[in-house]
Amino acid sequence: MKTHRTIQKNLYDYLRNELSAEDRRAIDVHVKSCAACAGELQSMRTAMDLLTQKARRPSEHRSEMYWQQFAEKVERRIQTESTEEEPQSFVGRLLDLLVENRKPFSFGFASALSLIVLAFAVWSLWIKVPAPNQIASDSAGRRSNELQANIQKTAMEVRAADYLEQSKVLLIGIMNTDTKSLVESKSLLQRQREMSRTLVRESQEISSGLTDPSQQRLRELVSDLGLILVQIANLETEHSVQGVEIVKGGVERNGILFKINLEEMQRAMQSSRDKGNEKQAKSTI
Amino acid sequence: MPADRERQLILDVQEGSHDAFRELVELHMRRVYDLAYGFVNDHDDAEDVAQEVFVKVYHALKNFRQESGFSTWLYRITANSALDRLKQRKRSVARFVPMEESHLSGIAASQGTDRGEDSILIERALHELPTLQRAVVMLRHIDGFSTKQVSDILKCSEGAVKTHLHRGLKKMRKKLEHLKDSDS
Repeated sequence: MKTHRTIQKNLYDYLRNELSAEDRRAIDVHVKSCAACAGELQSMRTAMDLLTQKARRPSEHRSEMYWQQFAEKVERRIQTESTEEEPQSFVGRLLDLLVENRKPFSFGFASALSLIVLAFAVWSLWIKVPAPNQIASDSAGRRSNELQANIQKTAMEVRAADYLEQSKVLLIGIMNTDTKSLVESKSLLQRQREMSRTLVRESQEISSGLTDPSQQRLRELVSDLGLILVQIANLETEHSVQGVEIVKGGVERNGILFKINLEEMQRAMQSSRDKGNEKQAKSTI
Repeated sequence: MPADRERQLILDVQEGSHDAFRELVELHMRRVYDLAYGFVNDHDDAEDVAQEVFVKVYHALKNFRQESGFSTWLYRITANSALDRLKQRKRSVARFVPMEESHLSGIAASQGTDRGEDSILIERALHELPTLQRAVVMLRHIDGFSTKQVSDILKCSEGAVKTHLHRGLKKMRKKLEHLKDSDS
């Protein structure tokens, strides 16, 4: 005769059909005459059925858009973390190592080493007064670095403008074509999918290149556009009608074409301002 | 996805392919998120842990040997990261986090039926379970892992998994009854 405890311990396996025939029979016999264990069995069965039939995965709380962006967020995080992790100096690593050990000797040694390093730093500042030509050379070096960064920033913005222009042409083509005729013309749809694929790759490179805080809005637009382009690139021939409608809805909802136009206008205004400044500078000279 | 494809993706990532890494992330992101949520019981934390897991995987894949199963390895990293997160924030194992209204209304709006109401009650009941019981119940009954797989992921015996399952389901049933009574 099995006890309630033994029976209840096996109820989960019983419900999962993971018991031997003998143990299963023992439970069948027991629950017929034991209301407590029968209630327990019923209670577990209901909970398991509810879980299987009606529980939703936590990930289902997130939108499809969220999941489309997830991998990109991970990649951005990897990039950010790798730029933040600057190589630590030998002395820094040594000090960390010693402090981690937390031994009195280590602290003493670390303090002595810190004092030596400090003394050396003061000494080198004292005797090394930079010559005027060295200051000029440092300042020229800084200017050269700034110039290089500016060139890179502008080059990426030009590339982004080109990308926006091409995407705009593609989207206007899709938005202004009747969905049915677009889907029926398979060659046109195929061309648009191929173009989107190229642009998606481009958008990934541009997004990672727009690192300056002043380029945040542009970066967001490039990413939003990238998501729409992914949808176009993944249009399936069998469900194209629905897919094209989703793309059109996404473009309208997010005001993508409006944002592209705005970006172009701002770029044109900036360009005319730059020209004005240039003229003014020349006339002053 | 066939195991061969996954193996190929891992090799490609090890050779430096970003596309392969992206595909690998897209393949496992939902399950990693679900598992992380099972522990941390909070959507923002689950997001952060899931991202952190893939960053760790990206760096560790270089030394990953295909002898051990990738999924189990990935889910072990997830379980460890989620447990670390719990420790970091000094949360007790049975901590109760109020469930965000936006998530509840999101489910109701998307379903709007009896099934929707039941889903909300189940989520509330799960939400109130102690961490390990919730994680085990979700892994086994929502994610569909076998008892053996759950024990591998959590590095505990199958007997311990069954005990958590038994207790978790029992508590869940009681909580569901209580929630249904208080709702009606």
